[in-house]
Amino acid sequence: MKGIVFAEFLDMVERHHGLEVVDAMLQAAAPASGGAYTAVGTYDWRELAQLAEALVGLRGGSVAEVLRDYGHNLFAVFAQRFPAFFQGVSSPLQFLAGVETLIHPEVLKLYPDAELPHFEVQLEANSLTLRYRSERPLGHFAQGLIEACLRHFGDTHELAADGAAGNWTFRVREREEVPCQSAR
Amino acid sequence: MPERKIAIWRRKAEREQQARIEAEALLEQRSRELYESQQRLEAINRELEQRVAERTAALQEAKERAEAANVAKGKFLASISHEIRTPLSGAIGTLELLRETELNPEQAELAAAIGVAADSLLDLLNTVLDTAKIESGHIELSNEPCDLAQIVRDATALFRAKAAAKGVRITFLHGGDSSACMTGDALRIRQVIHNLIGNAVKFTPDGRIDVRLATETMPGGRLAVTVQVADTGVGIHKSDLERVFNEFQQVAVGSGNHPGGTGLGLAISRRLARLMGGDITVTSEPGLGTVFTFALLALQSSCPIEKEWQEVDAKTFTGLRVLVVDDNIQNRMLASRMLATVHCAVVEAVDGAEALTLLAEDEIDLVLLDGQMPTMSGEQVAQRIRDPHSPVRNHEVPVVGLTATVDAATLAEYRLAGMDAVLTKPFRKVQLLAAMADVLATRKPAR
Repeated sequence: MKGIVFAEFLDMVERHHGLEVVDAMLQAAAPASGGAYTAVGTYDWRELAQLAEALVGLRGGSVAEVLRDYGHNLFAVFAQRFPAFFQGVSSPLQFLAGVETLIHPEVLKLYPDAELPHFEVQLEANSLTLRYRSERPLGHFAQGLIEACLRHFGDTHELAADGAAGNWTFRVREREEVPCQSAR
Repeated sequence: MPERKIAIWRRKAEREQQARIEAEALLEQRSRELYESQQRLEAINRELEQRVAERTAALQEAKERAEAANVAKGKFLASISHEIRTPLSGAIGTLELLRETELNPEQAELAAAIGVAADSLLDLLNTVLDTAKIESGHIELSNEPCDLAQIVRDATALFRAKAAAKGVRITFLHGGDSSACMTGDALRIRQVIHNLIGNAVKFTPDGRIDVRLATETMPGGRLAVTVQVADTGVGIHKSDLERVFNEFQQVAVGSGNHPGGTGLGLAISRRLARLMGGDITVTSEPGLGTVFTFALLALQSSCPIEKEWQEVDAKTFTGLRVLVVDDNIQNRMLASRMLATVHCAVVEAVDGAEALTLLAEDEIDLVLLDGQMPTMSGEQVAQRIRDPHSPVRNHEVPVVGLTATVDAATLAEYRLAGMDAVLTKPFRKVQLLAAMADVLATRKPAR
């Protein structure tokens, strides 16, 4: 998994909980890489799970919640750092449908060794189904990313996530009514 | 700051530092990979360039081989033409002499038949040569004043008897501006028109052939010329119309009879017309007839003064000492006989060396010099004659070259070597006499 995912995770924990928690989390997780993550490096994805588990041990909650939260955070980072992917895109369906065909090929140009998750995308008029199959049990992380995406585009769509471990189905469909307040 | 916090910050700083070192190492690795990939690309590029160069060289070689083969083909044709023309000129010339002797009616008829056969053989030879020349782009069109009306009138007259024998009437109709004199290659224009009229005669069993010449003066001193040959013959089926211009193709005619010939005439005519910047088109209705139209845009010119072969006075040559130089005994005999009829005194030489000896010892008024001879070519002999240091008595003696080669380059070389005129074999007596009269008028004989 690319280093940016780890580096941003540490940044998020530092922003939310402070440097002491980051330090404690690293000490508790004791990742094989030593925790000195660089965005351009590549690390074992299990270290992310170890870090999430260590954070739960320090601050409570569940690994699922931590990963989902992190998905929300990372999407915001992506939106800020890679605005080109959002140009001319007006709906979350359009954006999500292009992840496999437009965004991943660009990622691979920069990081030919990146191991990207594979989604089966089924786009219909007002809905989209993403099927996530992976050896990595990071479905909650993906869910967080998709939720942040929907929020980015104004919460005009809602998500139904279903699955466990590395086998998930995400259904995104247009809301019948625009809600008065955020879904979360 | 408490020590614990300092330790945390230090660890963070260490992580950052470690991350930076890793990032730099990755960057270096990536740079190296890029460099190596660049090297590989350059190597591939060099290999590709090498391959392109090799392929280009191979193609160039193939092209040169093909061109050499084409040149060889041209040379072969030229030399075969020479080989065929030499005996043919002997046959035609001898026949001409034979027909000047007392012949009974049957003999005269047989001799005339041989004449027709020999003429068509010569025609065939010229046609094949023309095709080869056009194909190799070696045909050269001359630009001289020519009187189109005269050419068409003569051509019409030439075929009149042949057509009349089948009951076909040929009429020449001249419309448009009265003068039809233009700059062009009279020989080739005549060839095209002969072909069109000859074809019409061949494919018209009865009825008539109208040959119409129309000229129109255009701006810029140009002349739009149209020669139309319309017959009431068998006609050509619509699907065959364009094929008539293909080489070696003869389309079926109504009667089912094969008309004979090489199937080259129209192909050559159209290519000649196009070389002149014009074209030949055809319309036809099976059973009703065919119209061939030869259209051309040329520069207007003054009308040429026609040379009349027949006007040469035979008395001009009486007593003239003529040296005939030819390695071929039949050719020598033929020329000697022709010259004897106009009372020339003929001296013969079998090669260049003997000719030069005779020219050094004797008073010679005119030399008939064959171009292709073993040991010393006609060209070399002519050069020796003109060389002021050679022992030849009269370096200004008129020289008429004789050759079976018909390419313009050879003719030009002969002229450059010092020949005053060059006659292409086979030639008629009138042509020989006209050429002799011409060079005698230009160069003064020894006496």
